[in-house]
Amino acid sequence: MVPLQVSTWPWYYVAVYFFFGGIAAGAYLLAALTMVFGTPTRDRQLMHWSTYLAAVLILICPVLLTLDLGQELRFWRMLTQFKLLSPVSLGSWALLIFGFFAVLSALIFLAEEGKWKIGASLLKRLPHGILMRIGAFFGIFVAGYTGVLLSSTVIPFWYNNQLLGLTFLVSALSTALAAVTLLLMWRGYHKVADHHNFHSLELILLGFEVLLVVWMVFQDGGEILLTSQFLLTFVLAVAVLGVLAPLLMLLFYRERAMPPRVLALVSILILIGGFFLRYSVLEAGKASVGLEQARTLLQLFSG
Amino acid sequence: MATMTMLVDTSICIGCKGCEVACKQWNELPAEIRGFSGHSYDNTVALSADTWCHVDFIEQGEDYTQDFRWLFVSDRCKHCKEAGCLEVCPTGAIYRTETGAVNINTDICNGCQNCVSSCPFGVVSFDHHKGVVGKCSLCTDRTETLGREPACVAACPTDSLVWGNRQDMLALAERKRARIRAKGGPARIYGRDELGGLNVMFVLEDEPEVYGLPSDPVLPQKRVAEGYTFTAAGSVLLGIAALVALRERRVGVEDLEE
Repeated sequence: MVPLQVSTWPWYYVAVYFFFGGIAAGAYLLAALTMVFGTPTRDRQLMHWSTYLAAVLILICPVLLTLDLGQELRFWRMLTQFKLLSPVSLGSWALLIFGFFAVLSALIFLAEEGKWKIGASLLKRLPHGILMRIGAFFGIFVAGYTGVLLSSTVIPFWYNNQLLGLTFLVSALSTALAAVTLLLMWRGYHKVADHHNFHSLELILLGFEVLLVVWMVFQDGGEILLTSQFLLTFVLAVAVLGVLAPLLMLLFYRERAMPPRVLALVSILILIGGFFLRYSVLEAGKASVGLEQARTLLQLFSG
Repeated sequence: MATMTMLVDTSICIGCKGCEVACKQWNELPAEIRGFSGHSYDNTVALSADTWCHVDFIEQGEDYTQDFRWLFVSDRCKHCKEAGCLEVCPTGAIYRTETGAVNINTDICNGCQNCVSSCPFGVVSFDHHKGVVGKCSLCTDRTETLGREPACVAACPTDSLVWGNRQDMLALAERKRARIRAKGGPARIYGRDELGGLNVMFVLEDEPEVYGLPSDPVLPQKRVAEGYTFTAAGSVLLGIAALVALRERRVGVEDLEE
């Protein structure tokens, strides 16, 4: 048995970063999709608040990533290299570029609303549609690269699942939609938040998630997610509460009006599921190495 | 400079752990308090950021019988030609030296730990006190600066560890393997082709897994493109899904406006 070692990334930095980064990227994508394919005039509040959310969360992400480092003051070293085979290297650059676009878009919207004065006239003249398209590309990268990062390690649970990037991307969009829904409800835009077409999009995303979560469990080593260690965080928080329950609720209210409390509950459940998905994937990778080591020791002692 | 390689002949290692001590002394690595392992006569158990060389004790067969045998292997970083740690390091702290060794500049390393999960041999370790990673340097300060052999090689009393240019070590490994086979024992060379060639090569008397070495080590970054492709393909699917949902919304809105 090979004595593998696994990075001791604390969940309260890394899983939280995966979660916030995913929501930020997903929220920006949502705004960009609305601008390109949706009804930007009607859904102005959705676009604006999605972008504000993206800008705030993406500014928190580098802080979490820096705190996770063994030498925090050397965080800038990440931006001295550009390595195509290193998802961390590409991710650092993507985070920087995406952060720039997210903050710029937020400033443009704030300037349009008259809430940002510095360089407002210049900001309003920028080709926002083009900027959002470019930003959205980097947003997709930020949402998905964290999964690719894990699956390009030697840790069996991560390495065996080449769809982790896609899983995180789908979850990013799903959690972003939920977070934006809650944000809009909080700001009093109930009608924008509660539209059956957003429920359709969320349904599609949750449908994808069901497939990807099942795929994850059936990969080599994926059974660790069904052990008692992950009973609460994966089976209950992700599979039951985070995916199945909101999926069933959305299906139930597909042809009828969804009460605001139910909509809020669905959104909260999706957010819980999205966080614990990342937590479970991160911790299951670490646990899979521990399990191998335990098996090795058992073999040694049993002769 | 020519590529230099260390050859580890496990068939003549006596498990004295002299290489472990020499490594600690030359590299000024602190002793680690690990407690009683209960595993054979080995309390070191594994490599770490403060233990760059480890002699693994492997007991085979039933105690006190003719079938019983010891296997020893002096283990350390393999300094792979295709090194996962080097490929993934986002700061450039991990680099290759002129003689082919893979080293860490701890003044640049920021302790992101990506290299730890990228090593198929479980060698690169995180030092929680220093906040950086550590591993064997193949004593580059001795070999490249002073023109001497690595400290562990110098200390080895049986010449189980040999140091020289890669071609010479390959030839020596072939001769050693032939000698062991002539005596009727199984033998194989490990590190000739694995990951493009390892700069720490082994002559083994059993399967690699018995020594804690993967039979077919992989460079995990080879799957990066695959991961991105699946993500990109999925994002196209998601885009179509979003297009359908939001178009529907646009139609719905137009209906309302009418």
